[in-house]
Amino acid sequence: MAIAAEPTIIRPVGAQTTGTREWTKSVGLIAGLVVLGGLLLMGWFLPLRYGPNALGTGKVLQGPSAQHWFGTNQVGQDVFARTIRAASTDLPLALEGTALATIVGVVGGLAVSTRSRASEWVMRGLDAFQALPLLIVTIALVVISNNSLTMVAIAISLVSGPFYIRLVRSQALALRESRFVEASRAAGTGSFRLMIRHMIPNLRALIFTQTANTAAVALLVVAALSFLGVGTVPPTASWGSMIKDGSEQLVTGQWWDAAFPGIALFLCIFSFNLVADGLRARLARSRALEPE
Amino acid sequence: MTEHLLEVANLSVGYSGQVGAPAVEDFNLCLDRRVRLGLVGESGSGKSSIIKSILGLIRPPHTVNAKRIYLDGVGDLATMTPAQMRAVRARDIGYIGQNPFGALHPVVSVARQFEGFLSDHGSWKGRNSLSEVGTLLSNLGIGDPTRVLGAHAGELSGGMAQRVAIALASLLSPSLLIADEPTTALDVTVQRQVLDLIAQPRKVSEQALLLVTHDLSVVAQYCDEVVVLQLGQVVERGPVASVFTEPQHPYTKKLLSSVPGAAPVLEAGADQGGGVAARSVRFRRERILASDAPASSTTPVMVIEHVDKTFRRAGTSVAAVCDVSLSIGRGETVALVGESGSGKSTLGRIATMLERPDAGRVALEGRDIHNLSSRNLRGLRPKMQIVFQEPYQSLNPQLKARNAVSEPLGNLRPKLSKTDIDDRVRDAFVMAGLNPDKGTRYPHQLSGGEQQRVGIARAVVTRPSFVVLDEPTSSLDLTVRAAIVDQLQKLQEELGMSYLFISHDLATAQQIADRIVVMYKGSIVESGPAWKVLTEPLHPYTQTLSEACLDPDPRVAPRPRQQPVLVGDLVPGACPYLQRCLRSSDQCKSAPKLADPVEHRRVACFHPLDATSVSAAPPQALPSLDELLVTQDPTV
Amino acid sequence: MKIRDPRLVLIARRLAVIPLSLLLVVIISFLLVALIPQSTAQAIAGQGASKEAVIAINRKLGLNQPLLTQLGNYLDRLVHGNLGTSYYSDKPVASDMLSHVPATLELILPALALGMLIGIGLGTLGAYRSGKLADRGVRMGGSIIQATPEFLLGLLLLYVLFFRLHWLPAPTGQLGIAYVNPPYHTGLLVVDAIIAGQWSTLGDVLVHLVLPVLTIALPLAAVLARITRAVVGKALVADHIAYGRAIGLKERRLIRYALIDSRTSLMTFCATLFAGLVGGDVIVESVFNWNGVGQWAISAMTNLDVPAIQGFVLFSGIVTLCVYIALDVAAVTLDPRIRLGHSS
Repeated sequence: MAIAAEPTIIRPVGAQTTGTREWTKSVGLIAGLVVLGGLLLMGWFLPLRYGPNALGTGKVLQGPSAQHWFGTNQVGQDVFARTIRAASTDLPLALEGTALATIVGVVGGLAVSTRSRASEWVMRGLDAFQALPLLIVTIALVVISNNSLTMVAIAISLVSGPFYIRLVRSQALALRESRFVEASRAAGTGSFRLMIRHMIPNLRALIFTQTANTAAVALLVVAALSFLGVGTVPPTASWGSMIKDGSEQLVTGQWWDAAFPGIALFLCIFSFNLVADGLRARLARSRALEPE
Repeated sequence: MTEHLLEVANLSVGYSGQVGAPAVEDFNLCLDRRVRLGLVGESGSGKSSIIKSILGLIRPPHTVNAKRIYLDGVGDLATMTPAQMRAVRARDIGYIGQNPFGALHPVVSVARQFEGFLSDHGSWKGRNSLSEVGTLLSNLGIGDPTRVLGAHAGELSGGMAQRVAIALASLLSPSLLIADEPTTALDVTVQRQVLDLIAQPRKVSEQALLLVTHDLSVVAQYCDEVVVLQLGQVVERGPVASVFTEPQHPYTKKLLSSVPGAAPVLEAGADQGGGVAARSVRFRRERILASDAPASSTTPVMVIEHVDKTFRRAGTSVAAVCDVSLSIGRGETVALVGESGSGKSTLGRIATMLERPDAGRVALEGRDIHNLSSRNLRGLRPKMQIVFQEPYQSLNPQLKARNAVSEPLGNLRPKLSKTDIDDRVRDAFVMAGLNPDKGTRYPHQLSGGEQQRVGIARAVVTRPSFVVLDEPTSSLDLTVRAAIVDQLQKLQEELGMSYLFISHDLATAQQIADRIVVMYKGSIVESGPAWKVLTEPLHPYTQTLSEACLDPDPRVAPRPRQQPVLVGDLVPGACPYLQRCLRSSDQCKSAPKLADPVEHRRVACFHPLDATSVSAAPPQALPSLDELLVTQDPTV
Repeated sequence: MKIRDPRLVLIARRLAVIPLSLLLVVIISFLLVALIPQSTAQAIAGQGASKEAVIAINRKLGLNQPLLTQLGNYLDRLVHGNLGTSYYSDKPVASDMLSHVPATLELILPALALGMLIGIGLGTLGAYRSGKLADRGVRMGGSIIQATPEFLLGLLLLYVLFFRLHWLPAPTGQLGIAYVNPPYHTGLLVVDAIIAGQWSTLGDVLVHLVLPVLTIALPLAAVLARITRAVVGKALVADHIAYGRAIGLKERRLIRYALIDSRTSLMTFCATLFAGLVGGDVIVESVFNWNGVGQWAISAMTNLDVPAIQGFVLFSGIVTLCVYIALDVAAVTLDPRIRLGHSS
């Protein structure tokens, strides 16, 4: 039997590029992971000269010096110690919220990825839910629960869950109605295997990317809450509350108390976004539904 | 006027970011006034790159190098600035594209677009211009220009949209018209109308036409000269009459032999290896004539009886299939032909139970399947398979070809051993004409034809008795098409499968099928032996389809058009074809039933044609663009 | 066959969902109470309050009744247009809240306008010059601003423009301490100052607006630039743009066509952003001591003033729903694709 000899055209799709380009694409991803991992590890393990909550480690409101790298705050605490330790409260909290939001988003999104009446109603409900001032609802929940950190995580999933559900739903719907899932159904594949072989692998890129995006939002929520005095509250060191305290001195020129936690916060959110973009670029091949 | 209108010398186009050879290398072309030149090639041949560089549309980082792109009366286009080139476009070089809706903005109304177009070319004269546009549109066969001018893209049919595009291309009376696959995206029945408008022989105007197409029949019927491109290089050029009758280059010969319907005439001209299509048509004709009773003796593999299917979406309901019955015998190929929206794909999906019918019976090998639960159906699925139109979309991008093909085997009960699976996957690859080594590739690493072969391998790996082929070749290049059709036929002879071959094109259908079933707006209007239906249609709609088939032999004049192509809505209870039919009477206000077979042929029409009949009133001919161009005020 | 204007059908269908959404918003805002632990009354009464005082508060607020009864009472009050009385100030919630709305509007409307101007402008530039320096610059700037929390951005601007450069005044709210509010007409200080002809007051109002407006507008611009780049970028590679180029349309017109094509999507995003601002400018108001409805809501929160919180949640919910209805009507009117049912 004749074997067809057709010219094979290897299309340049997604990550199918030369070695150097491949590497530069991952620079952001790697840098982001290094910053985040580094801050988290330092927050946990870095031995510090002063305790983060130790009062009067030096003169109050002292600028950066060899003694106090990031200066001291209005009660004489070491800003460096607090900035570093805050990573071990803020980041894990944000990640817990992200995990919760991801579970809500993926499970919820897959559950409503049909065109049934019930799914339509759920989506209408989400519309109404998203019409609420979510930040206020979040603050209310955390205040009411007496600053419970679990509630902060739940609040994060309330803020980012609905969007996540929408995203997963639309992609999953498109997949369910795609030609290759139909072809597989026509070959007699059951719904469990369809999920494992066709749906999940093609949702992977979306989930990874969206999880990294959600982490950035989650950290933002954690910081905003503690800036407003809810969630992680003093004496626990957290970036948001440190910036709040520092903001009082800012207008009189003592910038360091707000600036260093601010920089740490910025770096983390930026890194999460870098990770998200890096993942998107790396996993580009699974853009299943885009025609070639 | 001895000088050429257009002269392209040493044109090369290179695409940055792609490793291979440049898209076009050292291309030369001379085009005289009044000449209609066909630029023919398959995908990747560089035909689009050539017209883009003539129009000055290729931008950095991609590169165009040409010694000269000279347009008489304008100058050397290769040395012009982008701003100068912009003014040349439409004024001196008209352009008609492939996607008719591409010419239309989805939100801006047609009238406003004409206004924008004319003012960008400094020719906007307010209401006067608009009434001139209206006149041109009505000359192009648009009955109600005012409505069209006030409309948006979504409110126009493809044929109307393409007429608007033609109006845009001809409004400024350019001396050169470039048409890039102008009919590829249109329904076959509209194709000839559009070609009649833009590509009639030039009698009055001096406009030259550069017609880019993959369709050799279009070139045969509508062009004077032809240039054949392969992989960015010209392999053959000359007058259509001589190139088509005595092709020199092997690639041209291969192309010509791949044209469906080309068989009887070209047999002598084509070399032995390429005459696949010819062989198969002859084979089928002999077989049908010999048996004289297709699909009767044994139990049919697939039976569809009185099937209905209505889709409801956003409040409206569309009857996709109504009261259709069909049976397919063992080893038989039935072609289901119709234009888009005829319900042919829905019927194919019902036959494989990807869609459940609202009413009616579907039986596979004598066993009812329309009422089975999804679970019970899964056990039968390996016996009936489907190959889709879009080869890439029907493969999971995350799965290697081998795993895509082995998947159906995993659903077989009792379970197969690993070595059995490997053997059968390998067999399926070979049967589909694919090197088994390609099994380790991902879909995007395969060519379109290879992707479709993977789809075929996946369909036959379970040795089904019935396969639906839903336009399996329509997204592929001509030569690949022919090879795939050939492969499908060999497979059928080998495995004795039955095919339901869905197509919009009668010529392709005739090439592969024993019987042809014609669908229109959800109903079967005619069925019968393949070669009879094409050559001696009974139903007026079938006649329209058959007239739409252009002959790839330039010596054979196109069949005169008997049926006009009008756009009509469905009148409830009436013959679905009523709005388009010239032969209708009061009787047609009730729907005709598919009559009992006469010589294996059935038709649903109160006034069927017969082979000798000639329509009393041939449709009124519209003026061609050629004539319109001179009646136009060139200073518009 | 009945021929109806598809526009009306679409709008009617959207409007039909409103009561349901409204009910959902009401129920969710009510449920916030249900989640409050028993210590609420204690918290309101104060730490040293007697048991009798706590019970009295519980009775007064109806917190001792079954949840459904409470919901019934709540709905009954709402139907009569009564948002309740503040636990804290004993004033009616509705009028108290509405008196703070103009200050917030004065902040978010100019911020939205500025954000749209910058965001859509730069996003279109990025889309048109895709991959070029301008595009990369806009994207880089956007991702930096997007990674900066609002309060941090506000503080940064404050530090630079007020403390370092002295270009702008201290964050003392809508007016400097030397000024008094102009006579009340609309509650919008800019308008009131103009009506009263107090030009120096107007100037002070305007300079006080700059920092908070920038703080809201820049992140909005960053988000909108990213979205616009994607949406307009897609519109710019549409067939009709390539076609327009092939028939010699000017680039300016092609960009305009791409923007018209993207109009509906951009409008949707802007409406979403506006709806988010109504309850979401809390942080900026707090940074700049802005006496708007967000600050008001925060103080209600810290006082556990349940009717006020409910009132605010309900208010923002309704504003958001209204914005969405307006958006739907506008989209159906402006976009033939939606009318013809081609778009999802």
